[in-house]
Amino acid sequence: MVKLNNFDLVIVGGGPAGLFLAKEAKKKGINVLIFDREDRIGGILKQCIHTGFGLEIYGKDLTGPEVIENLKEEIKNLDIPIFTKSMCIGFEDGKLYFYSPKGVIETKSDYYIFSLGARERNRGSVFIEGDRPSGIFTAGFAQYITNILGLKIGNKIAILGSGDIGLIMARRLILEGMEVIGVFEIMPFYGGLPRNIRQCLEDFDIPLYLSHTILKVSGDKRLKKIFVSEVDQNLKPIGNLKEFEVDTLLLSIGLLPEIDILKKDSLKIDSKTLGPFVNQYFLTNKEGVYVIGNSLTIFDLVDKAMTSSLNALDGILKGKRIWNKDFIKIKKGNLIRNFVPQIIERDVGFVKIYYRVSEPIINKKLYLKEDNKIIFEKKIIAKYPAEMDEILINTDLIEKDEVILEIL
Amino acid sequence: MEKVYDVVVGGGGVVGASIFRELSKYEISLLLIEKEEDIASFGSTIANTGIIHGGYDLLPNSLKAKLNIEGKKLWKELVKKLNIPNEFNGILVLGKDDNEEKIIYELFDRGIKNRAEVKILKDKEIFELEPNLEKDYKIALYSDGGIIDPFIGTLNLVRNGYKNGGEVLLECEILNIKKEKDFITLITTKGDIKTKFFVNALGFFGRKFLPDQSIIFPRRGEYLVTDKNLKGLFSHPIFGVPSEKGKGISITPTPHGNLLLGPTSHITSFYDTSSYLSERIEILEKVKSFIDFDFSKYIIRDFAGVRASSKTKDFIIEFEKESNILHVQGIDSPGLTSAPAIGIMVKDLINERFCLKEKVNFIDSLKKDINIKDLNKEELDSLIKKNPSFGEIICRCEFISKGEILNALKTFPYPKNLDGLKRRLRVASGRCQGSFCTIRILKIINEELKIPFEKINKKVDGSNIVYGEIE
Repeated sequence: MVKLNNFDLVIVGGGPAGLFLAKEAKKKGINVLIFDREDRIGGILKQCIHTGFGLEIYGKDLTGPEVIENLKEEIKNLDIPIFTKSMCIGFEDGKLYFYSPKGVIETKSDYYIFSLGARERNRGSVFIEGDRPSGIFTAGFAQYITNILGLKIGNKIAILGSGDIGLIMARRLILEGMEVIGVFEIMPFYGGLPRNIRQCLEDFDIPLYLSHTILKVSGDKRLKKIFVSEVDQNLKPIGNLKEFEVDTLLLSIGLLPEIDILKKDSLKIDSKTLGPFVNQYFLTNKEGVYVIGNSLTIFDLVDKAMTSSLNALDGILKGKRIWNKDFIKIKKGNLIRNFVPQIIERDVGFVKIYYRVSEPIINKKLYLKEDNKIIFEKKIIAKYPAEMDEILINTDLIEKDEVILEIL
Repeated sequence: MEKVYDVVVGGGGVVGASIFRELSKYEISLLLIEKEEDIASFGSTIANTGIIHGGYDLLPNSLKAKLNIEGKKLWKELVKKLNIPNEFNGILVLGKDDNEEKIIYELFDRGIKNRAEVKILKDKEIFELEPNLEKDYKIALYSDGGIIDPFIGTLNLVRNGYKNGGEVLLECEILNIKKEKDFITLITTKGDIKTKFFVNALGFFGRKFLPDQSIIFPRRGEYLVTDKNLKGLFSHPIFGVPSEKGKGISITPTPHGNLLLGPTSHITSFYDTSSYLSERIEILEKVKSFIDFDFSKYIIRDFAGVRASSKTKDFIIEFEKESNILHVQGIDSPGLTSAPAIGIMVKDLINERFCLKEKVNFIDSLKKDINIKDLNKEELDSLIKKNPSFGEIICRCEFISKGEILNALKTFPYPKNLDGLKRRLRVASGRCQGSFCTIRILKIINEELKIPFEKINKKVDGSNIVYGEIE
C-alpha cells in the first residue's frame, strides 16, 4: 500500500476548482497533491466545448478545454503530484483512502479539500409514468457522448428542464444535425442563464414550453413517445396530454453537490444547497475538511467556482482546522433559495456571501438583518434563480448569534 | 438420428433454474431454454421482493405451504454453496388493533400447523427489533425467513447446473409443442428440439400450453427502490396483516442496502410492466403506516412485474394427461421461496417414470467471484498489484471495478447488454442510475468485446444507447 503522509494539503478532485486552488496553494508554499478519479484531469469542463468560461480569470471568452489547458500550463512547472484514476473511498481512522490501478493509497494530512463537482438529477428524481426504454439520458451524459466520443445520441430529441446543460445541448445537437422538438419546463420561468435562453434556444427557433412537464413515456425498446401536459400554478397537470414522437429524452433538471463520500463522517448537510454547512473559509464541521466548487453549492459560472475557492486557501493559511465555538448563523428568509457560507466567524471584517433567489425578482431589495437592524441592503433590479449573486457584508456590525437574509 | 434430450426445462426464471440445477445431479441429457437474451431478465423472478418467506400464511396441507417450508430450508444451504447475497434476519407481520391482533394469532396458529418457525412479539419486543417503526403497533408475528438477491440466486443456480453438464439455450422461444409417439417436439425460434420430458416452467408465458389456459391470470405489482442512504432504517422485511389480495405492501431491506417498497397487487388484462403514478402514491401512502417519513426524496427507481396467479389458489405441478409434459404453473407467491423444493418435486415426478441415476461427480457449489467489497485494503492492494483492473473503479455508487466487469463479461451465461451487467454487478443501480458509469461501461464493452457502440443495447435488440458516429 502506498502511503503519502508528507503533504500539507490533499485535494480530491482535479476539476477547475481543485486545479485552480492547487496552483494558488502551491504558490503560497503549501505542499499539495491532487487526486482525480478519471484518466485525465479537468472534470466536466473537458466536455464543455462551448465558450463562456474564463472571462473573470483570463479576461477572455474561452471553451472548457481551453480553460483546462491554461490551468495545466500554469501548474506544469509547480511540481504538484497528480494521481489520476484514483477513486476516493473516504476516511477511515483519520486517514483518507483511494483505490487506483497502482494499488490502495493511504493519505494523512492536516488539510483536505474536496472538489468533487456535482451529479445530475436523473429519472429517479422526477416521476415519469410508463415504460423503461433506452433513450432517456441526463443532459451531461449526452454531452459526453456527443463531444468526447463523437457519437449520435438520437434523431429526434426532447429536453425536460431548462437548466443550462440542457440548453447548451439543445444547440449542440441541432448543430450536429439532430432534431430538437422543444424544451419543457415545469416552472413558469426558465432554469438556465438568460444568455443561454437567447443563444441556444431563440437563435435556433427551439420552442420553450414553460409550465409544461412530461408525465409519461412509452417504448418497449428505445423511447417512442412522450406525453406532455401543461401545469397550473401549483404545478398540477391541466388539460389534455399532448403526444410527441421522439427517440431521445434528455433530462436537464438540476445538479446536486457530490458529497456522498463524506456522508458517513457525520458531515452537516444544508437541506437547501444539499452540500455541506461551511463557514466563510468553506471549512466543514469535520476537522481539517474543506469543500469547494460545485460539491459545496451549484455555482452559475465556472470562474466563480474557481475564484471562490480562495476562501479555503485563506482558511488554510490562517491554520483553521475547526469551527470557532462562537459564530453567527445566517438564516434563510423570504425569496432566498440558498446561500453559502451558512455560518460566519465574528468580527472578521468583510465576508462574501453567495446566494440565489427562489423565483425571478424584479425591483426588490435584499437585506441582511439582525432582528430589525439592517446590516446590509442592496437593490435588486432583476435576478433569475439561475444566477448566483454575491454580496460583501461587514461582520463587525453583527452582535447577535443569528442574522437573516431576505428579499422584500 | 436427431438428438432427443431426456429433459428440456422451459423457462429461465428461478423455478426453471431450480429444476435445471436439481436435474443436473442426474445422468441425463438436459437442456434449459429461455426466450429472452438472458436468464431471469423479464419475468416474475426479476420483479420480485426477494423474500424467503416463513410460510405462516398459507393454507395448511396446500402445496404452497409444503413447498414454502421445504424451499426455505433449501435456500439457507444454497445461499452458502452458490454465494447468493442474503440476509436471514426474520420477517415481521405487524398489527395495530384488536382485529389485526386476531389475524396475527390466526397466522400464528397456521404457522404452527405448517411447521413454520413463528413467535408472537409484543410492544417493547417489536421496537427492540425495529426502533424506527411507528409506536402504535402492539403485536407482531416473527417468522424465520430472510431475503436474497433473486437474480443472483437464479443466475448461480443456472451456472451450477451448467457446470454439471446441463445445456443452456437463450433467445429460444417455444412456438408450439407437438406430442409424438416416443418424444415431444418443441417447435422453437431456434429450430425443432426433441425431448422425452418437457417441463413447462415458462411462467405467465407457459399458460398457452395448458389444456385450460383460463386457470392462470396475470397480476401486476409495482415497487419503488430507495437509495442506500436509508440503510439501517429497517432491518427486517415488515408487513401489515395480509388481505385477500396477498401479503400486501411491505418495506423490505435488500441484501445490498436499499429498501424496496411494495408491491402493489392489481389484476391486469395484459403483461403490463409499466409504472403508474397511482400505484406510486398507493405505495407511499401505505408505508406511512409503518413510519411517518417522506420516502419520495430517496426513491431512485421503480419497476413492475407480472406474476401468474392460478384460480386454484395453489401451485399447479402435474403431468398433462397421457403425456410427458410436466406443467409447473401458477407459481405466484411464495414462488421464489418454494423454487428449490419445486425442483425436487419435479425430479421426483420424473423419477417415477424415468429412472434417474445420480451422478457420482456432481459439484454442488460455485467458486466465489472476486468482489472487491469483500476484501480488506491489504488484500485489495495485493490483488491490484497482480491485476490493476481491480483498482479501476467504474461504478462510483456501488464501488465496482473494471476487473469485476471484465470477469462478468467472460462468465457464462454472458451478459449481453447493460441491464445484464447491472443485474449481475449492480453497476448503474446506485443513486446516479448510470449517469457516471454507463459511459465507462460502454467503453469497456467496445474495447474488450470489439462491439461497436451503436450495437450495445440497454436491454433487448433495438434498445441501443447511441446511433453510430456523428457525420
